[in-house]
Amino acid sequence: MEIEPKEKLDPRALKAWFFSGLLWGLLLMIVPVAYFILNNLFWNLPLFYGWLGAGAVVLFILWEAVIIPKLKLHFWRYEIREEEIDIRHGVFIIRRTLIPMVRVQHVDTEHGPVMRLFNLATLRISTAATNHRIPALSREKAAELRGEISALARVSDEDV
Amino acid sequence: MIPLATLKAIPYLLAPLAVVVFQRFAEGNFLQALFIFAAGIGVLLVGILPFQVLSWAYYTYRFEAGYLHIKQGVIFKKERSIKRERVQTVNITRGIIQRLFGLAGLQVETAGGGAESELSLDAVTLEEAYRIKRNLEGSAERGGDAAGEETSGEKATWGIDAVIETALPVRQKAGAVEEESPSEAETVYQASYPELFLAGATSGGFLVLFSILGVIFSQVAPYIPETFWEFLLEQVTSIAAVTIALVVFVLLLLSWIISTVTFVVQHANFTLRRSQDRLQISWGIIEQKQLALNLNRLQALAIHEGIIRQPFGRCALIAEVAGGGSKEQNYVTLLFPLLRNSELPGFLEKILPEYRLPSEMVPLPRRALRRYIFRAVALSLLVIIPLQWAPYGWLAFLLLIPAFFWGRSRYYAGGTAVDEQQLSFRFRFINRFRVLMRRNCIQSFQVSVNPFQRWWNLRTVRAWVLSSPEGKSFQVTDTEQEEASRLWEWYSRTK
Repeated sequence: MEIEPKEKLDPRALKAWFFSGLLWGLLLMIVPVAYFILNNLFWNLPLFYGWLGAGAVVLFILWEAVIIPKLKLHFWRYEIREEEIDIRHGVFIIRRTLIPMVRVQHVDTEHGPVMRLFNLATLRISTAATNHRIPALSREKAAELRGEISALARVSDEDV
Repeated sequence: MIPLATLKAIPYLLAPLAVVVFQRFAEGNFLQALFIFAAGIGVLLVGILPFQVLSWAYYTYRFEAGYLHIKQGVIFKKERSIKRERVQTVNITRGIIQRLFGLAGLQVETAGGGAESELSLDAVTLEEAYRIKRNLEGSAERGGDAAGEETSGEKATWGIDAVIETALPVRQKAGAVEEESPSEAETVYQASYPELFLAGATSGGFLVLFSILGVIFSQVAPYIPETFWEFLLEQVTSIAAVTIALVVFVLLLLSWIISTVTFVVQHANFTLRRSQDRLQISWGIIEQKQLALNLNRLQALAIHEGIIRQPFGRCALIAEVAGGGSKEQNYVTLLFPLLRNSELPGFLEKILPEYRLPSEMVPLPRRALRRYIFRAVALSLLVIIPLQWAPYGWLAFLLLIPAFFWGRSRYYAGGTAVDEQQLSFRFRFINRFRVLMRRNCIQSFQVSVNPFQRWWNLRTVRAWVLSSPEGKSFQVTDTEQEEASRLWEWYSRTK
């Protein structure tokens, strides 16, 4: 437990998370904007609530797109050893997870449009009972790790 | 594959369309109904078909040096590599539509992996299906001896349930089992009726029944003749409160009797037998039910001490089972309904020597006590504070007393232990559990810490085991930091 995992996520994750946080924020911004428009056309309610909503969305963007990604990137560590995968993540609650190679069922890499834009991918590791992910690796790195883990995750002589 | 996938998607869209069309039709707007119908079909063809074409085009698989690589996804891409040795079964299925086009469906499954297949193809040509099957299964048969044995060994374990749950000779006279062949050692335990009665009486099932009876009674009460109430008030007691208490008491007694009898009847003749690596459970009078369990499917053992049972020093034995428990027992399998705590070590030694009851467990450090009490009190305040708006709301503060004792007893229940091959957790929410997990059955292990725990040098440890249909985790909160490290090192394979 003393040996902390060494590898960090790709720093481009910051941009990707900022971008997707911003996209979500803009999507949410529709609500206060719609309020302003509808208010202008049909109702005559105080504008205050609209500004309140817009302010909340701005705070959300600041939190989700700027603060959280920085903290997440700062705390995220992983290490792939011959016999196990060691992951440390979390901002307030820090979790260390240990996944033995012999328990790994399969490994996936996945990426959506935003991740693709920054040439990033998520590595997903599944055991028979759990799912673990290492988000925001470079796509080459993710593919490399997928190959590495599935090669190491050989069928063991231990019974399941 | 494209037309097939599109065909499969149609029913989902047709249903709402049909509702709208029928509605218009019923209103007499025939033209409108027809128009909507045509538009619906149009959307279906324009919207679904191209997407299906694309997802078909992007779904590729290939074999490479002992691996099966799958790539899929139009917008969200996903790649998966499966090692050939990991593949357990390759199923080829042929439905009517598939047969019509000379196609076949193919599912590739690896050991234990949830409900979803690792690779599932709806439509490949029959030759291609057999080619994939040969490619994936070939290695296991022709490959090195060791690898072949491993795979087939696991197949026997994980294979289809039908193999494992073979029909057993029904209505074997339990208790008076004569050893058929002396070479085959068999251990048999049968729950006696007095013990079953106690198990039923303390199962807590009566509380559920009581609430049901209470609802029924409140519906029936107005129809009870006035004279009956008058009789109660005049002859038995003159205080209304006592009358209410009497009614509640009678209802409680009634539900307790019914639930106890039901339990005894349901679990009558409960027999657990162990022969080699199989456990057999049978129970019931009218309908004898049997369940056979290969030991390899047993993922964890839980000793459950119900809050009502604990004063009697009794516990129940529960198994976490992989690969689907019996339907009647709802995945968690009751191994034995009631045992004396003092009998437990001997019982385990005879019937499940693979698991050992830890003689001593590492308790939680003293400084965790205040965190447990704080949590219990905080939870009770969530109930108490809203009640302040109700009349006599201040009485709710009395809840703080049981909350305090609840937190305290949760603290005292907490404990961990490891030996060579086994991790044991002891914890309580309401009932106390002792969970025994073998190292090989633990799928992953986690140590977590929140800022407060960091301050007090405490940790939360959590272990996952496979339990159908999904994984299940057990955790002990606020263990000593060093103890968490010790468990981590024990689980870690990197020395």
